[in-house]
Parts: sequence; structure tokens; C-alpha cells
Amino acid sequence: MVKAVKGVILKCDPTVKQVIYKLNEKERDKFQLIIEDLDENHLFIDSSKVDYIKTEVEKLLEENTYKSELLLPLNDK
Amino acid sequence: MSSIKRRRQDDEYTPQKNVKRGRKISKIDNDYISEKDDVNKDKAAGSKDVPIIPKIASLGLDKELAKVSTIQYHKRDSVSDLFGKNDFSNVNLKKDHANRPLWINPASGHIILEGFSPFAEKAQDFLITISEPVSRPSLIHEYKMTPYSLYAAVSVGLETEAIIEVLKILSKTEIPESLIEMIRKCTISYGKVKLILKQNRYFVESSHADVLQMLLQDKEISEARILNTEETDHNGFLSNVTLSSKDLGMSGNKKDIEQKNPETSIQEDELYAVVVIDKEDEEDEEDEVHSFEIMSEKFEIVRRRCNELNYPMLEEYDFRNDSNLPPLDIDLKPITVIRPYQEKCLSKMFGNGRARSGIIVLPCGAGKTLVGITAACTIKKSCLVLCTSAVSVMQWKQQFLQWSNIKESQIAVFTSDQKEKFNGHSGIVISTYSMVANTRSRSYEATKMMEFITGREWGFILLDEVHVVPANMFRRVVTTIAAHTKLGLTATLVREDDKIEDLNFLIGPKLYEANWMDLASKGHIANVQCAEVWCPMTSEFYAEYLKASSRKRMLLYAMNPNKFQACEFLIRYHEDRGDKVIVFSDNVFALEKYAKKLVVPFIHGKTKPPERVFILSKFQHDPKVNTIFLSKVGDTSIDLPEATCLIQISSHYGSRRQEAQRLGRILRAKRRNDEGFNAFFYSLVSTDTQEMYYSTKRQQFLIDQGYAFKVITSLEGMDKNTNLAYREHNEQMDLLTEVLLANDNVADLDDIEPNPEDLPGTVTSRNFNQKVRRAMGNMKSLSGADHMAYYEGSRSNNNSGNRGNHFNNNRTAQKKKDKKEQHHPLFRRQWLRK
Repeated sequence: MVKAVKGVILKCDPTVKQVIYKLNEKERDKFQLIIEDLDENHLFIDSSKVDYIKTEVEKLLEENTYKSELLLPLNDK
Repeated sequence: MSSIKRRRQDDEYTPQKNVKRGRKISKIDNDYISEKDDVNKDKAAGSKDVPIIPKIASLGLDKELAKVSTIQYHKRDSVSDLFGKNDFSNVNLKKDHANRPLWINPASGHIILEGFSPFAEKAQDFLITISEPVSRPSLIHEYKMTPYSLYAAVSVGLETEAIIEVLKILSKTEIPESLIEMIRKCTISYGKVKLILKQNRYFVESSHADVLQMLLQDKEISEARILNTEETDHNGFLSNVTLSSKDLGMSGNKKDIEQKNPETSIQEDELYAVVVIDKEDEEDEEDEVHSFEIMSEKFEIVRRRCNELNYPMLEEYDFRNDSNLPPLDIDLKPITVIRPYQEKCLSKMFGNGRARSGIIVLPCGAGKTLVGITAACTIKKSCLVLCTSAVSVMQWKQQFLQWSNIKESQIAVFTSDQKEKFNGHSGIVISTYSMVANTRSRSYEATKMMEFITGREWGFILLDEVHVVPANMFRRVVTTIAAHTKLGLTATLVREDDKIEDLNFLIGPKLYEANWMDLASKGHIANVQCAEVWCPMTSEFYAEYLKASSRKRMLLYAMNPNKFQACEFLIRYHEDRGDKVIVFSDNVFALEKYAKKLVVPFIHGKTKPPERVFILSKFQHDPKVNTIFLSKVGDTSIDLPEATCLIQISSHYGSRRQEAQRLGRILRAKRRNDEGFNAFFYSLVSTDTQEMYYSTKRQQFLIDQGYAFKVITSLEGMDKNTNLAYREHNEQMDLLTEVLLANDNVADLDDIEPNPEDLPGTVTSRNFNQKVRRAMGNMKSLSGADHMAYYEGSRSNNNSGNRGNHFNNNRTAQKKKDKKEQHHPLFRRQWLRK
């Protein structure tokens, strides 16, 4: 039987893709973020989790790069 | 005195020649600016006779301002809220504000200078004296007034009123009362008292008798005082008249300008003398000074007491009249040419014919050594030079021989390998901080040598790279060695651990700080193009990065294949242009990996000295060797004028100093005077990693000096070049495995222990949260040799500095503690705090 899943295509850097993989791993028991890994720069993800991914990615990248107030905008996602 | 005048109306103005303090001028012209270049010149000369600000100028302005302020009122407008407390729209602009270069923030005391103003250069000279440069890009400069900077200003002979007057003239707005008050408060007590060494006797000197009286009220100070009834007048002060000569008395300009002219002044009161200053003396630019002698063994106490009483003492050395110390026959060779800015900083040091202690800040490659040598040639007394490593000891010796006419037998070197003494009564000893400050047991020879050093008096002590010296080590040096003058030299007076202020009181105020951009535009140092190259992490590396511990992370972002490619690409590109390239990596693992892959010679802490010399000379002379890899050992004191391009692949966290020191390696490029020559400084950064954060932090110092970093997100032509390493995915995976297998320890920064007496070179503090901890364990303890060490009595129970390792018995703990002390005083401090 065919099962339809609603999703969105996410275009991102390879690094951000890794971040999302990590999230996926972390929340594996609760839900599945990634539906399909398309290619190096594209992922097909669960559309209901878009906001969650946005905030988490933001948080992680902030942490990794800039910690104080002065500073340049983040690398384009 | 001549003043530059700018007039907007060509009606009358009064000429300003020889306007004396307090002279009244009735007719005032409101509409000109009087720009006091003479003010700055005199200040540079550091003469005691501080330029007298022609009252006329400020009076004129005041009047004008008074008029304006009556009709002016403050109205809050729609955007006021956005500025909050920083809404200064109520501050009056002077009518001719466009002509004035300064704006002062009434709240913080920050001074903003328009670098493009025609008066900027003169204003800069003044600001550099009274304040600390915060940031100096090409057009707008920011300065900050601090108590220290004002202290420095006073010590070079500026007076409170003069500072305020000049500020008033230069400022676009009225100067806030609060600021004036602060200047008054900070300067009123500074500089009033001087500690002078004359013929090996310490004198507390002041031109204000009442200040001395006040100091003598203090119990500790009066105890230290020596009462000598023969020389003194009734109240016990020695009164001298000192010529405050404008003669700078630089080396090669031998004039006996100082006259000692003991003069007893008339006494009326037994206890508190009112000393009548001879009016004639004043006009002859002479100041009457009073002094009392203190016991030399107690001068430390007196100095401390004075600081507590808020009358910090300036230290001056009357070297021309010192007959006790045997003179040293040293002079600059006639061919030696001093550059204008070097002369300027020396003139601040020898302002009134005496030598004062302090710090001179010049960029790397701008000839700090020559400044030091010239100072030594001016003082002409025995001189002790302290530097950070054995390598720079040899460099200093060579420089002394090169620039001055001193005989080789008069220069002695004191390192762990060489312990020499000079012949005759005077000479120069060059050593390292660690050798002198060492408190552990020494060899017999070293002990003898130390006795030789501490047993005599030094006219001059030169402290190279002062910023790296830990404060406690410094204190030991300063207290064990009797030196009349201390001069600190440095390129980067910044530290991540805020210990800079200690130096101000241990050595003296900052006497001079050069503007990098200025020197670059005049061709004294090379023009440098700075760029930050962003290298994206490959997905595999980034996946591991996210999982890894913080030490491994460092290794991962240093070994990022994209970074490797960028590095290789840049090396090839610049080699083809004919540049000589230095690649810096703090991480030894990465260093070796890169260098071996690219087949390029490398030097790190474990490279043996003969090999180092060989590699360096190859780099300098062999046209086939155009690139070398250096670890931290190359940050300072390796002098490679051939290098024109610098690539940095891994670095010490956010150390601003390291960045600046590394840049210094290419500032002295030989080819700097070629038409259109540029040196290149690349910093390779892996994106989305902590490196980005550190990189921004590191650049701050250089940005403040006016350098602009260009961000390169992708190197053009790199994709097309198929010869680069790690293009293939499987190669990258191999590299990744290798990195992951690597021992955690290799993620450590370099092993700078080339010589036991070297300072922990470039290591500054690690003020960042996630820390790579340096593994303090060593082969010795692993092999159990700790127990073999000689160990003596009084076992310390205090193991707080240790990470309570349970296997360690007391003895190893003690041993470890020693080990720590030996190498990383800065770290120790941090550990002890925990």
C-alpha cells in the first residue's frame, strides 16, 4: 500500500545538512525529520518540523561560531 | 612659538608670540581657530615648561559659546528614545565646528577624531599623549582617556590646565564638566613627586614643597627619610634649581645641559617652609625643586606608600651627573640613521635631560631594537638587556655590534649555554627573563653570574617584549636588579588577561605608541593586504566535528580538506608570483601533515637548532625553497625579511597578540619600498566552526590599527586546478580516519620548549570556555622517573594547584607543581583560582 507523506525540500550547505542529521539522530525515538536524502545540498523533510529545525539549526550554529554580540551575520544557509 | 591661524574673517587678530600664562587680552576675535602645533612640538620635547596656551583662543570661544547657550534649549524629538542615555543632541556645537577635529563623548570620555581633518596629525600627537588609542582606521579614530594615559601625559611633562585647554580648542563641542573634573582629579596628584637616583642616593623630589610636607606626615615615609643636616636647609629639604632644558640630549648630541646648582632658600618657619621662588628663575625656565633623601633599602616601601597616598612617583635618572657608575664607552656608529618616529619616542624618554622609565610601543619590524640601542648609547652606563628567548639574545648581541661601536668583549651573554662576564667596569649583559627570574636551584656558574648581576648597579635595563612577561616574574626581576632606568619595548600592548595595567606601575607609563598605518604609508613597514579565507567544512568532517570532543574539533577544523586545498592553492599562486611564503600552524600534527604532503620544510618546537638554522638559511637564499611551515616558535623573533606572504592555518584561539606578532613577520619585508608592493596575510578559517569566532576576535587588534580584512568566500580558479591534494573523496576519507585515529594529545598546541629558559613564548591566557587542556604529564612521570628526582624537606600540604590525581603521592604532586611553575605561570594562576 502506498503511503503519502507531506514534506518540503530543504536546500542547504553540506554542513547544515550534517547538523540536521544530528538532530534527526537525537530525536530518533520521537519522530523522523528526514524523509529522503536527495543529494549533497538537498533534503526532503517533514513539513511539520520546519520551525523546529529552523530554531535548532540557528541555535547550534550560533553556539559554534559567535558567542558575543559584536559580530557578522552567519554564513548563508 | 608660532601658531597656525585660520580665519574666516580677515579682520584683526592678535599675534600669539610668547603669550605668557595669565596674560590678559582685552580685544578678542571670535572667529578663528588657533591650532596649536607648537603645543604638540613642545610636548614631544617633553620639556617641563609646558606650552602655555594662549588664553585668547579659548576666551574667544567661551564668549561665543556663552552667547549661543542663552538661546539654545534642548528639545526631545521623535528619535530621542532610540538613543536613550546617549542622546547628546543637547550638546552645543561650536559655530566653527567643521574646522575642529574632535568630538568627545560626554558620557564615556571617548574621543572621536576626524582623521581627514587638516589638523588631525597635530591633534593625533596630542591625543596619543593624553589618551589610549582604541581604534585607528584610516578616517575616524577613537581614543579613550584613562587614568593611566593621563598619568603618562603628566609624566612627559604636560600639565592639567594645558590638557584641558587644548581639548577645548580642538573639540567641536563644549567639553563636559564631568570630563574636565576627571582630568583634574587624575592629573592633580600625578607627576608631582619624582623619585630620583643621583649618585646612588634616592631622593624624593617635587617642585611643590607642600606635597613633600604632606608625604612626610606619613609615618612610613618619614621613617625612610635620611636627615642630613649639612646639606639641607632648616626644614630639611634640599632645594635645587634644575634647568628644564629643551635639549633632548640624544646620543650623538653631547652637551652637558644639566647644572647642579644647590641653593639654599630663605627660611622663615622652622617646620613648614615657604620657599620663595625666584622670579628671575621662572623666566629663565627654571623650576625650583625640593627634595629629601630616603634610604635606598626602603625606597620600595616609599614608592608603594606614595601610590597609596595617590601621589605616584615618577622615576627619573640623572645619568649625566652620575659619577658613581662607571661610564660605558658606547656610541652609535656614524652610519646609523634613526628614523623620525624613533627619535620621537626617544625624545619622550629623555625629555628633560634625564632618563625616565616607561614603555615604548612600536609595530614589529619598525626598529624597536634600534630604539633600545640608541637609548643605551644615550645613557652610556652599564646595561642589562632581557629578552624572551635564547635566540633573541643572540640577535640583540648582533644588533648591538651592528649599530654601535661597542667592543665585543664588552657584551656578555647569559643563557643556559653561555655564561660570560664583561671585562672592565662597565658593559652590557644580555639575558632572558627566565634566567634572571629563576628561583630554583642553579648551576654553580649561573649562581656566580647572578651574583655578578645583582651585585652591581645598572644604569639601564632594557626589557624586550614586555607584554609576555608574567607579572610575578617581572616583579622578581625588577626587585632583584638595581637599575636606574627601565625601558620596556613591545609591539602589542594587549593581553587577553588584562594584566597590562600592572606593567604601567611596574615599569612606567607608556611613553609612545606609533600609528601602524602612518608608518606603512611612509614606507617604514610594509603595506599588507589582509584576507580571511573561508573554507567550508566537507560534510564528513563536519559530521565528525559535531560529534567530537573540543580537542578533536580543533584538529578537525585544521585538517579540513578544503582548507588544505585553499592553502596549497595559495602557496602555488604566490610562489608563481615570486613571493616567499610562510605558513603558520599552531597545531603540530597539522603542521607536519601539511608540510609532508606538500613536501615543504617545516620547523616546530622539536626541531633541533642546527636544523632550524639550515632550513631558515635555505629559505632565505635558495630560490627553490619558497615556502616554509612554522609552528608557534616562529611567531616572534625569527627575522625573515624575505618573506612576503603569510598564510595561517591554525592559531591560538582568540589571541590578538599572536595575530599581530605573526603579521609582524612580513612587515619588515625587504621589498617593501618597491613600487606598489604589497605583502599578503591570509587567515584560513573553516566555516561553521569555532574558528570563525576566534578569527573575528583575533583580528580585532589589527583592525584597531587600521587594517581591513577582506573576506574571501571562494578562491577563484581553485575549482579548475585539478592537481590539488585531497580532491578525491576516498583521499578525504583516509585523511579523516587518520585524524580520528590521532591521539588526543596531538591536538595540543605546539610544544614550545626549545630552551628551558625561554618564556612560554606566545602563549597568552585561555579565557575561553571550552578549553583544550594542555597535558602536563610527561615522559618522565609515565616512566616513573618522578620518584628518582631529588627532593628536599618541607613537603607542601597545599595541593590545591593540582588536579587531585589519586595515584600521585605527595612527592609526585610536588614535582608536578614544580613542573607547572617552570613553564606556564599564566596557566598556573588560572588553576589556582579554581
